[in-house]
Amino acid sequence: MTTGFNELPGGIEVEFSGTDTYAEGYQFLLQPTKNAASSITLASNRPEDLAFASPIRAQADSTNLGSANVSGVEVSNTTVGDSAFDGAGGLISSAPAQIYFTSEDTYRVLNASGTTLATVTGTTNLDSLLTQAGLSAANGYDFSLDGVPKAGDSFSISYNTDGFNDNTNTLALASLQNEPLVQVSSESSNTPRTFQDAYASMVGRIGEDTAMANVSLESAEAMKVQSENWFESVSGVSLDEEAANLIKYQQSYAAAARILSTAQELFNTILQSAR
Amino acid sequence: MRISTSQIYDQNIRSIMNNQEDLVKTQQQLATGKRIITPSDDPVGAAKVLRLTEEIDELEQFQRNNDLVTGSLEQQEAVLTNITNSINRARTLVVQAGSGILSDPDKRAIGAELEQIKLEIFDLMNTQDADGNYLYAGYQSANQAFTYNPAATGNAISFSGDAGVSFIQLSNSSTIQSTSNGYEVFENVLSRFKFSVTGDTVANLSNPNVSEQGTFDTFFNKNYDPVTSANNDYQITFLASGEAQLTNVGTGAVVDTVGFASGQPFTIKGMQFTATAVAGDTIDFSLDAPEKKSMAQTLHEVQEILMDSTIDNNALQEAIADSLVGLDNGLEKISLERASIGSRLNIAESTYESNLDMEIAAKSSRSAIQDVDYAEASSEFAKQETALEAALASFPQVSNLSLFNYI
Repeated sequence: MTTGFNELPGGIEVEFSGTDTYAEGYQFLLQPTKNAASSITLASNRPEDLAFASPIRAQADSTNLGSANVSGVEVSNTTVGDSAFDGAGGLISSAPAQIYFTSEDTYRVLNASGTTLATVTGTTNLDSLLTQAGLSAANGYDFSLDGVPKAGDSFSISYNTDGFNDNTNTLALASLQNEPLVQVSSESSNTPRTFQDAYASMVGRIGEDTAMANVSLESAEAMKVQSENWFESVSGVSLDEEAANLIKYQQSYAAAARILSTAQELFNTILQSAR
Repeated sequence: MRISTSQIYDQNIRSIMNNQEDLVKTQQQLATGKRIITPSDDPVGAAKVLRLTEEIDELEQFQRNNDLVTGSLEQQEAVLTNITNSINRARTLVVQAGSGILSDPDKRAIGAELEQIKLEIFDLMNTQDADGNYLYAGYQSANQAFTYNPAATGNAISFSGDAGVSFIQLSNSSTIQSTSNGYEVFENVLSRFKFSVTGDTVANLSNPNVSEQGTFDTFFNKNYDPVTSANNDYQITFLASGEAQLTNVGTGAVVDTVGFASGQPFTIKGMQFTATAVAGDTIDFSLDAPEKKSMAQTLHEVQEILMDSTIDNNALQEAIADSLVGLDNGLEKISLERASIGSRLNIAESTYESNLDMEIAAKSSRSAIQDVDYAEASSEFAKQETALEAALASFPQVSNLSLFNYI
């Protein structure tokens, strides 16, 4: 057996690490979902604790003269140490905090203390401004504008403190319903499906298997009946038959007895005539 | 074939059992109203039913969202309608205040009424929805959207929320904006473009002001430079040829030249100056940075001036011109927002209709797959009942037949 993924029936794949040896007769018990249901606990009963809001908000500054507005904020990473989030309800001081347009297609990205982090010139669209500046991956967020900015316009990015009315994450969560996320089989050519579609296919597949098992059961039942019939037909007892036999043997008994009594009568007659 | 006695019993029991099983199944279908009791009854149908059920549930949720968003948008529309009505009243009062024949107490009375209208608008800008959230505060809906601080250095009434707006999903592909931020609706209103004289060498420079606001606005929009402030400095030079020449100090470009007679008013790019000047004299001025004020703030400013009896007529006229432009710009923003709300309500309504149609279609196709046909099922039930009765009735007759009964 070569190392790597080895497909098992049911879609579970088991990988053996290359150096560990295993021998014939080893057995592995896999119970991947054994404790899944029992370890479900209620982590919070405060609806405010649910992270429905985006951790970042961006907005146009009040002195802007252009018509550009923030059209979307994206957050890709909030890991402390690996992104601009400090884990204590804020952003680290070197994170991008402002975008300042020096002309319609040129902008500077500044941090909270006003230091220029990057300058982008000749931009053709206003999507993912931090990615265009090469700053998105390291900080874990980005935002886009629509409309036309004017020179001197600036947009600020801040931590979304008190953002109760923000439902960005909820919308993203709700949209998971239509995202193809479930890989139904391990074949790479198989396109992933939505949760509900995968569930419906699973139910359909189990239904097919059950229906097939039912058909097999019926045919096995029929064969069993057939065999029983043959067996019974050959070796079973029929009371009518036995009754008929009984009568038959009774009759022959009676006939035989009759022969005996007749013979006896004959002998008696002979013996009496000879006396 | 030879039939043994036990075969007769087996056969009879088996057919009674089979009949009972069929009968129970049909009875179950009749009782639940469903043709598919377990997925194995119709695997493809069962999977389809699950998908259709998901679609129906999703559509029901969209309809609930739609009801919520319609309610919220109607509330916002009501707020904006009230504000528009109040502003129209305020605008009439401001025009009345500028008529020049009013006495001080009259102006005070107008100022007092404007103050009440200001408070009413301020209150409407801080409207809360049924959950107690401030409608126009953006994401920070637990905090008041606009704050009133008369002692503040800038605007007394200022926006303290953020630009966040929330969206609600109305169908698989469409989400519509359910709230607007107060900054965009009320605060992002440009006040009148103006200029300030910074120095001059002329005599008797009196009341430099914007006399043709439209011309000046065009000039301002084209030339105001928010990045390099030196480009906003201009100089008027009086030439020996009897002309006044407007030059940009930052770039050195000559902008315009108009005829000039000393002591007579002249208008250049919508700005009017009156001065006694000789060749070589100059007037320096710069374009004021554009300010943004909510209509409540605009009313606050004009009302304070009307209440102040020490203000001269020029300053009063300036203040009235400021407030009229501010109110007009504000009303424009509000009518834009009302148009936007109206179009969103239309979208919500048409989405509601199409969702309803889709829900009915999905429900009928789900019903066709999973629901039992009562006529078919009840006649099937009657048939199976007859069969079972026949089996039960014939069993004793068959089993009673025995040769032993005759010997």
